[in-house]
Amino acid sequence: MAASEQYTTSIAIKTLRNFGRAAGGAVVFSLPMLMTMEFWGEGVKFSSARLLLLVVFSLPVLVLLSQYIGFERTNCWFDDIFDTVVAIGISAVICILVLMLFGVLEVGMPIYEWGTRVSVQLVPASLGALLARSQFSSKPITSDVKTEIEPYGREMFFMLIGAIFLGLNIAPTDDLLLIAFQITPLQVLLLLLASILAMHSFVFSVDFRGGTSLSHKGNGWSSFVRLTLPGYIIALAISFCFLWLFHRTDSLNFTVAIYATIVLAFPCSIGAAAARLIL
Amino acid sequence: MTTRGVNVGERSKRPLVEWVVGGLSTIILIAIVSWLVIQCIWGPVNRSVLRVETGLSERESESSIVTIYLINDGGRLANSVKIVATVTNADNSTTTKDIIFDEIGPGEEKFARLIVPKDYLSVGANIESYIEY
Repeated sequence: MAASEQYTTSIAIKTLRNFGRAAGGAVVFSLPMLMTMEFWGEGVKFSSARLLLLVVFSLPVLVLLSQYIGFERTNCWFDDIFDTVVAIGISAVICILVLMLFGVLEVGMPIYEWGTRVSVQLVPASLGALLARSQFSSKPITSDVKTEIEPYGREMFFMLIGAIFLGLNIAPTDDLLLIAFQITPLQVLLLLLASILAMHSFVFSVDFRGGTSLSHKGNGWSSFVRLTLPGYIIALAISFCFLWLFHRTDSLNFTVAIYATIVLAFPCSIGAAAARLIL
Repeated sequence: MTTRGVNVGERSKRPLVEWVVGGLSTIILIAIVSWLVIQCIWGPVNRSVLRVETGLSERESESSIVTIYLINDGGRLANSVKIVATVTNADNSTTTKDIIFDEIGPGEEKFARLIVPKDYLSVGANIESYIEY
């Protein structure tokens, strides 16, 4: 009986520790966005349909992230889906509490305002919650990481996560468009080349901790074509998606929309490269 | 075995999908870089080129609403664009109204709605001033 109680208590403590870790990750990852007025300021209106797209398309990404890292060790897809739902729930509570503390959400505010202001924060916060184990765990998780999916797909996925995280931080800000407006075509071209160079040197040329076996195998050109260039295309795609989701392309012509995409792809590509090392 | 020999052996072990993804990425990137090079050579002029247009009016019960469009055909951002709209009333008297746009980027189009008397004769709009970075 005593042994059974002790087991139950230890499970409860472990669960609480996992949830606390997820809450910590949600706070750390979403705080920059919770404190950015472009996400919740007066006059900020995000289309409900686009927000729904953001949340729906992020669900499989979050489930995969739970599979690779998550805030606790999982054994099957059901566990991953369950953990994703828990991460979203914890993130929603964290976002609501912090936004209420900041006076952004108030009792009596229309439910639409609550929904918009919280749902736009859910994706970065949930990412943070599910990355908590890689950031806050005292034990290394390399042995837990599933290896049945080929490393190439995993590398691409981690780059996607890094691009999403940094892209989400910057995409809704006005500063991004201002840069895109005042930049010349030559500067855009140089920025594109600098992004690719930074991405490649971040992992392959400089001896950073965490470079993977894929990074070190083969010659530089092989890695450049197979990893860096696809990684940059992922960063570009994420940039354009976020600009569209946050209505930044609505009043732009094709040329400036491409400029803004390349400007946003700069931090996204750095995030993508860094994610391969950090995660 | 030479380094070259190792690389050739390593390359042949790579799954085809990695080279397909890499090849497609290279093609996309070459297309973007080529387009940017064309923009560098034949792109829009490196200054603001602003024009203002008056749209159709909408009749309300006691007034009319006229849409004023501001378009930047140039390649630079313009700030604090001041437009003076001149409304000619039914009795041939004129009144002026100021419209200020905080900023308009290259290729961007913005609009403002002007409330005028229901029986106005015409509305004209001119750009009075703007700041260019």
